[in-house]
Amino acid sequence: MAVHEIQRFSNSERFWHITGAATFIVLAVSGLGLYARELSWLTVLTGGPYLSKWVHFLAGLVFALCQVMNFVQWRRDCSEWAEVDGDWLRKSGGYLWSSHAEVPEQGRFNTGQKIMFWSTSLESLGLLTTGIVLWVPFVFPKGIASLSLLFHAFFGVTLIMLIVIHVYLATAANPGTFRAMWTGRVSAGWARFHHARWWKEVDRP
Amino acid sequence: MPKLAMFVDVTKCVGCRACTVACKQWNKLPMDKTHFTGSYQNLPDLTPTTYRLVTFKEEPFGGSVSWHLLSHSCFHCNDAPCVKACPVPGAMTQSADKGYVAVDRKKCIGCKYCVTACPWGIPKYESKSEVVAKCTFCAERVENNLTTACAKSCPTGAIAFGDRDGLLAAAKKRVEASKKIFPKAQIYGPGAYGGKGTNVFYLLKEEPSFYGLPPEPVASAALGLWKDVLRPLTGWGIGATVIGALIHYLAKGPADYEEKGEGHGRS
Repeated sequence: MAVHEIQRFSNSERFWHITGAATFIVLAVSGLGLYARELSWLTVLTGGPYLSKWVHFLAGLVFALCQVMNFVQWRRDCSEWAEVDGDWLRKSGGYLWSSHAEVPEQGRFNTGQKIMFWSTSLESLGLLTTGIVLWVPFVFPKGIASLSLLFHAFFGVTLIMLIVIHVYLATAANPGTFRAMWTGRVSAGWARFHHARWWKEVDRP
Repeated sequence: MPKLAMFVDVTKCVGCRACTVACKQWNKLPMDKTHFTGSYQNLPDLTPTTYRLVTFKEEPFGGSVSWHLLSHSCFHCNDAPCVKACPVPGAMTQSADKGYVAVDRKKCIGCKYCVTACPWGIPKYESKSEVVAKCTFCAERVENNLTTACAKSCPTGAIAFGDRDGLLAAAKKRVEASKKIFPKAQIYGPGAYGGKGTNVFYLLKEEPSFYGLPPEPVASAALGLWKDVLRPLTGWGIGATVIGALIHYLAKGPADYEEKGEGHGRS
């Protein structure tokens, strides 16, 4: 009775997500290091304050590309909203006050993942636009440049918080999930437990 | 050590530009290429290699022309927004006792946050060296009990250098006398930032906007929200998220599923 596996993410899906994840770590560290004087010590990890400026800029461009590709490859799956999504939210996906058994069957992505997709996509768009302004602030009106400084910081901090949640849910909170992104494959039991509707589609031709 | 200041009295300025030359000379700054625009003013604005500039505003006066001159440079604000915005320790600093604000070119990384933060647009970014440059208040001279180069060179006493309280008192006396000839005469600088003020201040003959100066210079609200609200909340926000995940793990545990080996479908 071999446990059989299901392909969950294609090579290109994993490439853009993993590249995005790696650049995100670089961006979070260098970004916090360039955020306030008392955090400047963090820049030792990215080559000191001056190099961190360039590392942050270049990694930001790579991350933006990854996020565009992630958006393109997942936007359809993440745009399917139905009544079960409301139900998922009311039951907090089984993570807080309800048990997993009460949660309605989910498609390829569950409601929380879809919300994560849209919030990280929008924050990335915000980071890219404000980041461009910060690179050449003198070509923009003063008010736009000031607001960009504030919102680049705000989007950055809140994106870090979202990613902390994302990483926790993809690792410790849900065993068997991390390898979906790392190897692209999940076990049938995992698929049935987390994404029963999707599992029925892909595992029963 | 008392706070140091400069008081620029535009009613005494004759537009000789000795101050700008002395500034270039002391700071070893190269000349900027100028273009004739129909005005006697040399450059339209400060540059990374021009820390001080006399602006010439020309107005018809009788059958002739009247010049409104303003020898201007960094205001050396108290609680300066550029210092507040700077993310590198020691790059843009304010002298704790004397009050002036200076850039350390060796530490500056050229992030341009100060360019955005300054209400007057004083710090100028030099793309070649990737650093920001501005008036240093002649820190090397001042720290050795010398006056600033511009004040030293001024032949009419339009730029006065000295202890801040003394200069403020002199400015107040001077503005009263000037009002007889220039009814709109006013002191510009000490009232900035809701009274925190600047360490370089001016006696203007006209409204600040006449010279292209913001009437009420303030640090942008965005800078305050960033540094005074968002910044203190950052550690708590990220920390609470991590601790929240940890508590969730301890309280609720991992969502474990049973691996049913039968394999639905294709097995």
